[in-house]
Amino acid sequence: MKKITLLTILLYPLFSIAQQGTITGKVVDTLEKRVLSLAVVSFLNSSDSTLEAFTRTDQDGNFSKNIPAGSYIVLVSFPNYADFVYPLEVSNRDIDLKKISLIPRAKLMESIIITQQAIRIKGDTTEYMADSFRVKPNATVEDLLKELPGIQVDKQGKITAQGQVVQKILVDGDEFFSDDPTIATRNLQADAIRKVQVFDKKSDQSAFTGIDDGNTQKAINLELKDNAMRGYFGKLSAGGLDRYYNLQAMINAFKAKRKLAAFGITSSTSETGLDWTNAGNYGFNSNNMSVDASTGSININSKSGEDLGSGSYAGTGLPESLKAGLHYSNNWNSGKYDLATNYLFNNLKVRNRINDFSQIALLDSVFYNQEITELQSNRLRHNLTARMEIQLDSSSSMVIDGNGHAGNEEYSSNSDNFNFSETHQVVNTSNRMQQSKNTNGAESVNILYRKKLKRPGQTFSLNLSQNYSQIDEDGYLYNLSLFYDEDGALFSKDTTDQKKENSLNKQSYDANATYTQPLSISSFLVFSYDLGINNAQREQLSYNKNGANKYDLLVDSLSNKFKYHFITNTAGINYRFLTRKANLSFGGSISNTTFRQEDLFMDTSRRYSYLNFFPQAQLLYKFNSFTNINFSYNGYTTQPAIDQIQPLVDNSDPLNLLVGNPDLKQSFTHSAQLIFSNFQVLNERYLRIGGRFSLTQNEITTSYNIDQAGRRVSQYVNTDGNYSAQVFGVLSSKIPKSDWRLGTGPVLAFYRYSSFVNGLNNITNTANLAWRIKLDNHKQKSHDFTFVVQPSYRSSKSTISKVAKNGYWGSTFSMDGSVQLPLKFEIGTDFDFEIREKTAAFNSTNNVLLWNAYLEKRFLKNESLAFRVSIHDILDQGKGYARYEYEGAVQERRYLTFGQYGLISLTYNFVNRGGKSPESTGGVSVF
Amino acid sequence: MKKICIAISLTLFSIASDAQNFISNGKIIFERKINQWANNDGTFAEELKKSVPQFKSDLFGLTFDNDQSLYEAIGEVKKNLFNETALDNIVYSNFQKNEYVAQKNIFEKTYLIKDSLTKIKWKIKDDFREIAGFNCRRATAILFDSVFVVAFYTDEITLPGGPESFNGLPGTILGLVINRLHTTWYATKVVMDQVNEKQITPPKKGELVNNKEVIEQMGKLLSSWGAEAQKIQWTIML
Repeated sequence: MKKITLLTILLYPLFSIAQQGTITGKVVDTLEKRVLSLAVVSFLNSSDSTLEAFTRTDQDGNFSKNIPAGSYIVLVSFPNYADFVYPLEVSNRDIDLKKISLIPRAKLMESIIITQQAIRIKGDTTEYMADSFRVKPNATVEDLLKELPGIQVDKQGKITAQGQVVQKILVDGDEFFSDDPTIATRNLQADAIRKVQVFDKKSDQSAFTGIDDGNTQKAINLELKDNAMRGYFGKLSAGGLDRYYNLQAMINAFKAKRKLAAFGITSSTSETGLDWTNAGNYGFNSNNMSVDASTGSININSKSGEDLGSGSYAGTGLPESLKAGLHYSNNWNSGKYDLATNYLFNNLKVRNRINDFSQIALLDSVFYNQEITELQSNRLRHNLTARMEIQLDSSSSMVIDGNGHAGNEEYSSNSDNFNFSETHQVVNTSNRMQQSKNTNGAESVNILYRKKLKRPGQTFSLNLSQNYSQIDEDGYLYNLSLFYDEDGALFSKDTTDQKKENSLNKQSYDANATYTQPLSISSFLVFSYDLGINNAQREQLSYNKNGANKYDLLVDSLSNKFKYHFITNTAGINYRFLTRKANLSFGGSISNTTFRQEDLFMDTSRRYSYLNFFPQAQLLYKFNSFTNINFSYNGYTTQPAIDQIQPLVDNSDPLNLLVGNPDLKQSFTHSAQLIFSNFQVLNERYLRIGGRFSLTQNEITTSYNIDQAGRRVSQYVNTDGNYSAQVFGVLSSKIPKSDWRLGTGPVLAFYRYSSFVNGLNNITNTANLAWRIKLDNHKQKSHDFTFVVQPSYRSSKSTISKVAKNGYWGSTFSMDGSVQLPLKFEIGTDFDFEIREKTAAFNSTNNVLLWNAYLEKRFLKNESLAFRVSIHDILDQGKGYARYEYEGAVQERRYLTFGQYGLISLTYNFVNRGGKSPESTGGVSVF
Repeated sequence: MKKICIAISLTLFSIASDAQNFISNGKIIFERKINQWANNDGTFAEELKKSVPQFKSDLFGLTFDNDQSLYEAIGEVKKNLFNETALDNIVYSNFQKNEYVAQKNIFEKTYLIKDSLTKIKWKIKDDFREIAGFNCRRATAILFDSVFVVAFYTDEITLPGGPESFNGLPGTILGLVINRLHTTWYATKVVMDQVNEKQITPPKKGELVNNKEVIEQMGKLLSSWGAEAQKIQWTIML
């Protein structure tokens, strides 16, 4: 009997040679130079961390174990030593892990070694274990995010993860004041976070069906620690000096699944929160209406006012903001009902002074234009969102989203515009004053029903949505334009003095059904059908003054009332093939859009109909759980927007006029992307390289004519051969045998844009090349340094431009550091040095050195109270400055921004965990 | 064979005493607690709370050497209010031979169950807690397709076993929680003694059966008993 067993043991590896491998290695303590015997070596399945096999090391620290092929996590443990974790792919080959060095836990505590499990990749999700990244006491989530490889946070708090802008921050999977992610990132404490998960958030329907509907957003989920789920915590902060102030308060009261949070922020400093995702882009000043062919939705694109029009603060101008919000989420019936609600109040006042200087280069002449604008805006909004998820039974669920906002906006501007000829002689001048006030509101409801059918993979989902929005605006426009002849004599004068009354209301309904049919265990067919109905009514009325100085003479040529009806029918089919290593999908959809435009003043109507195509293909190949390559292709047609075919007459800027083009064709865009990514957990190395390319046939671009008086008349036309290409790479790695980390990589972008100027085809080729090098060094309780150097080269050349060379070098250097001093003092400084080369067009260098510093002293046992004195822009160099290039024109913009100021502030972080911490009961409640 | 075993255990012991205090011989005292108030509603529960203590507690000993262990009650097991089945088991496990012998009093009958060790699919977690002075790592498993089990095991005791017939972790289980059965086992004491091999002998009393046979017999009997029977069945199968 015994012999047989022995024989079986001996033969076993031979029979199954194709399916298993022998893993050998030696476990040592390098610091104390001894072998570790009886250390446990466990092999966990990487998919669910179940224990596959384990062994113990022998007297000499050696181990050897046969395990079946598969992907594993090797876990080596030894009492009082930190665990060693290593991902391992086992095929039919034997693997020698060689020497595995364990580090005594006592040692680990005092050094800054990041534990090996800091980063995990699960499919599309990258997971960071928060505790393995060191941050100072009472650090915010933003401080934590800055530490994570592959994530960057800019001064305004905008987060970029793996090269893409993060659009949503969730807390434990719930929307948490999502409109302004800085509320979560700047107010939640880093030590309440267990994990940071970065993932591509798909639409609810697409997450269920697995079919990429193109609506993915980069999102971050903050998973809270168990002990943050009880009691309350928060932050109070007050700062001020002179006319600057910054007051913040936030409280979170979490109890298991019930989360309650409230905050208020009022500020006149650069700390003002962000407002990234607010889509409502209002303001009627020369606006544009377009239809998104894929969804049939109507968008209003505001051209003037830019970031002020939408009411979000994007770093230009001087803001004063007040924000407050409430969050409540909970679930009942052991997760059957899940509710998350957010209320936000937002009031933002911004004043700005913008000075634009442009050079417009034509083949035979050059113009110069200068525009100085003073503007003020005041925006107020109440926003309420609610989301309810209901698990109806084990196979079906429902998600109901409701969203509503109401508010008003005021905007006023005064601008002076000068056009100069090549000899710097004034061609015309104009002074324009605009004022507007609006009230706006919108409401939307979305219901998604999902059902899993009998066969695995067989699913059905239905999505119904409804939207309503309304905006009413009153405004005044005053414009005086003066035109001069070659001798500088005034020959023409043009005055506009009008009252404007505009309104827009939109209603839309959409129904989408998706059905997935499994063909085999690994392949699926997905059918979808979508019906969208959109109605809109827009009224724009202009009144001139009558004799009695009252605006009651309707200007027919500038007044109109339109009704729009859109019906979009879309049918799609996709094939998916899923295996452990590869994930392939391809297919497409075809969409018919018909729309009718009714002119209610002229009593005429027009009808357009377009057939649009959306082919798509995607291939994801996983070499192992830590290395993958992802290719995707998307093609789509874009139909002309109504304003491109038949624009509304708009005289808000008499020097820029738009005429329609009824012959416009659809454009077709091919877009492809290839990304390779690799994590090396042991080396703490992260690599991501990729490229995007997109080419548009029949792209709708502008053709414009500029007359000698500097007036510009634009029209939309089709043109071929426009493309954009981007190559990017990120390598983040620990420098061996040092405390330094290096992050580096290029961003190379090339664009070709074709347009027409005075009948000539103008092709602009732009190249934007930059290389980022980041070095950082952290030592807890000691110091924290980050250096970033980013040299860049930008060149833009257009065929009709007279300027031969228009490339310039630039570079940014930035440094951010802090040092812990005795007695809980901390000193920190950061600077941004921006260097821009002079060019023929931009003959001033405009190098800016922005230098800030602070001194902080922390009090109380857990350093929860901090007193800080800070100075912003010590050298008083703050210059709002930007350069733009487009279609043969180059522009320099100077705007108002913060100058030198000081701030004295006091911040208190409070925590009350209430009751026993779960550690004392081992995280298991028994009864 | 025996010689080899002894040789190995001797080497292991010598290493253990030299570097790290690895334990491969000794006795662990477990306290098993059963919540008697659980699963009773209404006025009956109120009455119950007045008349019986919430927890019924019993002591068990796990005597072990390098590759075998014996789990049995210390003293008499107290009467339980509702179920008396399989609450005073004697379990002998041999990890070398991958088999166990359990003597279980099931209703009026005594069985001697002899089978290979139960294979449990453990999930290893990254949580730790200290039990009886040992740093224990958390592992979880699902038994009988529906019963969630949490175990805490320590690397420092080399025996891959624990209370009842629980096994298969890279160390000894010092804590065990089964919510569905309202029962916990926690080690209160670990005695590091040289163990005489005679102290670890398989039980002998009862009708000899294997696990499958017990399940079959019980299944027939308990199928008409309703929901509570399921728990009795699980208890028997531990």
